[in-house]
Amino acid sequence: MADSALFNAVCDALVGATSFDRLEARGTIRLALKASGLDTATVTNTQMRVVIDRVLPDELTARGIVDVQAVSRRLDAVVTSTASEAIASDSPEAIFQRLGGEPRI
Amino acid sequence: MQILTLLSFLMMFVASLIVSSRLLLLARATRGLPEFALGLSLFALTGIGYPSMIAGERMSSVPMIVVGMVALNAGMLLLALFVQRVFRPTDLWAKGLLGCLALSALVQVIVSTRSTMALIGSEELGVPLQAHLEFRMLTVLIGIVYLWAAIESLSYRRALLRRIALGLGDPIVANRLALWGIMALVSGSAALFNTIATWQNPDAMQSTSALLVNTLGGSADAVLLLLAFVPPKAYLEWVGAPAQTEEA
Repeated sequence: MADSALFNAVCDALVGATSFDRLEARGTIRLALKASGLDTATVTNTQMRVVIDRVLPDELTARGIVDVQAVSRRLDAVVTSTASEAIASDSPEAIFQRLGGEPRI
Repeated sequence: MQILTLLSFLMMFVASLIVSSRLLLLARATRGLPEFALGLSLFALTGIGYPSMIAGERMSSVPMIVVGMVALNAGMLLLALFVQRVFRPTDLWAKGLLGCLALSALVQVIVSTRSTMALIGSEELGVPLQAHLEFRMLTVLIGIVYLWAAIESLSYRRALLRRIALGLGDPIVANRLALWGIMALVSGSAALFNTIATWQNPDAMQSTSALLVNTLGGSADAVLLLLAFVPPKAYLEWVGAPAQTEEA
């Protein structure tokens, strides 16, 4: 499955905000998403924002980034300006939520 | 022990009918393929397939055995379709596996129908089904598909638990994935156990160990299935309680 536009936008912003090259930036965001149980193709804006605020700071600190808060703010701004995508109705989570719901006749 | 095995089989039969009819009603409302495939799969496997095979064997009825074989193949294929569409909708290998299973089911139905029809009037009709290669192959395939379902469900649940820790997931859905995954694991393991146990000795299904495995497995499956797809309100409140407490 192809990476989402949101993932690509955040990676590009991370390259601009740090000394990371494209590969490092993508790897860092990918690891943060994986640690959060998310993937690069289906991550939504809300999920990405939580990852940036709560998971990414540790990843950035571990990679020698000093001003983590400033980087997070820039990435948050990119998430806000990127078109929001709803959680896919055919994701396993959405399907299993539906399977336990009341059937309407 | 045989009475307990029969009771556990009845439990599984009733649970499957309840869950499959609920999922098929849901599919009618949502037009969703996953609920349709899973509902019909449970109905074909446990509602028609196994009962027809058991009754057909006991009554030496060729038509019932054929109906059972067709239903089991259809159920196995629908279960694989459910797993592929839910967890691997774009993966080429999963589509290929589904295609192979469809081809295998078609061959199974043709070969087993022909060989079963050939048994009409023959003394071999009294031989346990487990002695027939086609039936063994089918139970192996059913076991493999159930294990695939278990691996996908439990892996996805593991990822979902990491999301829940960040406040990004529903604990009830994670619990449903766990119940379904464990149910699939038990069903798949029991199918493979039965195949291995009867490989050398077709009468092994009557042994105490086989009866015990099938009794415990059937009872556990029935409870897991009902809790996963027809959960009582109190159970949902209990599962969702930690998240609600955190939110408060």
